[in-house]
Amino acid sequence: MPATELPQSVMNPPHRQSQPPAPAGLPPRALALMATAGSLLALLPALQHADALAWSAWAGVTLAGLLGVGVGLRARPAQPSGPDGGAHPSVAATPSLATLLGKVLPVWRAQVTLAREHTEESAGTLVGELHGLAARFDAAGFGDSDGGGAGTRGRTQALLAECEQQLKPVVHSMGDIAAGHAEVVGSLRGMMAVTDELRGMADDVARIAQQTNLLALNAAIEAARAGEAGRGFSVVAAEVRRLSQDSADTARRIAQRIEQVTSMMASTSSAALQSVERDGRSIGATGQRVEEVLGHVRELGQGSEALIAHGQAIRGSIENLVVGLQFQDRVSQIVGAIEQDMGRLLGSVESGQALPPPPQWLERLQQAYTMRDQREQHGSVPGQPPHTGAASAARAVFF
Amino acid sequence: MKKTILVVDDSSSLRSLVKMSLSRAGFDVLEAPDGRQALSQLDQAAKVHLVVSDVNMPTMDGITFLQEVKKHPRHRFTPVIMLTTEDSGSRMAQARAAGAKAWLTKPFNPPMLLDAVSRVLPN
Repeated sequence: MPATELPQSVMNPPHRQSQPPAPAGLPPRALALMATAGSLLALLPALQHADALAWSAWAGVTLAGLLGVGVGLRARPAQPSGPDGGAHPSVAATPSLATLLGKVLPVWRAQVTLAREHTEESAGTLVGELHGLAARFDAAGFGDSDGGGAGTRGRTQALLAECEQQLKPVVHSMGDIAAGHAEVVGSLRGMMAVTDELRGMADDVARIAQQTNLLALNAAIEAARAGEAGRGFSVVAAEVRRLSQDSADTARRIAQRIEQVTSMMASTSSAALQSVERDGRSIGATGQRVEEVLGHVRELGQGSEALIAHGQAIRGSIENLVVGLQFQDRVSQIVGAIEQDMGRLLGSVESGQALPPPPQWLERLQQAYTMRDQREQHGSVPGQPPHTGAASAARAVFF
Repeated sequence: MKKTILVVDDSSSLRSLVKMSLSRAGFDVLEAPDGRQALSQLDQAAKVHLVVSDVNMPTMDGITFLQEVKKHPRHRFTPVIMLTTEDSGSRMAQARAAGAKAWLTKPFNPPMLLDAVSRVLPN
């Protein structure tokens, strides 16, 4: 039957919502068509991830066509089962349906192919954009392009931690320098105390020399009184007196040296004290600057940690996008099986061969499936809502 | 020196996703849309360290391609990972018998793929 002679229900298929339930008495080929429609409907959950508008439009047109065929077949008077009276009538026995399928199936296949190509093109564009985004992400130093090593941000954080570790000893070293200066000043003060003792000892030596001189003078007087008998003792007394005068000279020189040393140590101690005070102020100021730098380093480290956390979040999002964008591959598998089945149906129609029973047809359709989702959807109860479960979980098996 | 991985899949977007994941991890990536062109790439390439191949492809499917790789004079020892939506146990058994090193099901995530690559890739 030419298309212009089709029943009104085929030319203007009813809206999906007003479609009555499929009658139980449909011929096998109509059931096969309805099964094909069911398989097409199985695509809808997968389309949640795709260009939903375009796919839904395509699915709606396809569904309306299929339902129209179903209604048209139902409106027709009952046909004989076949030449042999069996349950497997040939398409040639119903030339109007064969003509319809021969004209409609190529269009459906072309539309399905077009939709698949659109999806692939769109997915390619999305993947390209994601690739560019990931490249910029990596170039900004957030990526993990070395396959497991620390990224640039991680290296920055490590450098900051190293800076902090190296700056901390500087503060301690400055404290050590100040303590060393104080120790020198303390030693100088100790030495000045010792020189004071030395000055007292020099005074003692001078006093002893003076007393020895007086004693030698008295001895010389007594030797003179003794006359010739005391002449030898007079020589000894003179020598003792000379030694006491030498001792007095030595004590005087020692006292002079001590005064010189004391004076030099006093000026040194004064300079050291001034230096310690000046260095202490400088060390304190420098230590404060170093502490400030350490604070900045710590802030940078904390900022770097925040950047790393953001980077990890973005990296996780990119990985999720990589998973999500594989919808095209899955949709292509599903649509490919439908395209193949449409081709098989078209081949049967064009050759006029007898169609196999629906279970056999469906079994062959099922053999084209590659994914568990397809098999589960295929086995779902007719009339039930489409299977909307998530895609099969990824798994890895090593041999 | 960067190692080279040949990615074989009839879906260009899937190839791009695999390539992106591998190149970000520091690998050089070659691409082929089916087994026949992948064999041609193997003939021409100086060195391919690993092959990641789909199973269901036009012209030459992944299992046939795997069998051809194992007969290749220069690449018969090159490890092959199958990356596929196929979850059929019989197909997995075929791949194992033909010498595949691993069987990954799509949708893959990059860490899983890189882990498999690092486990299979010779040092």
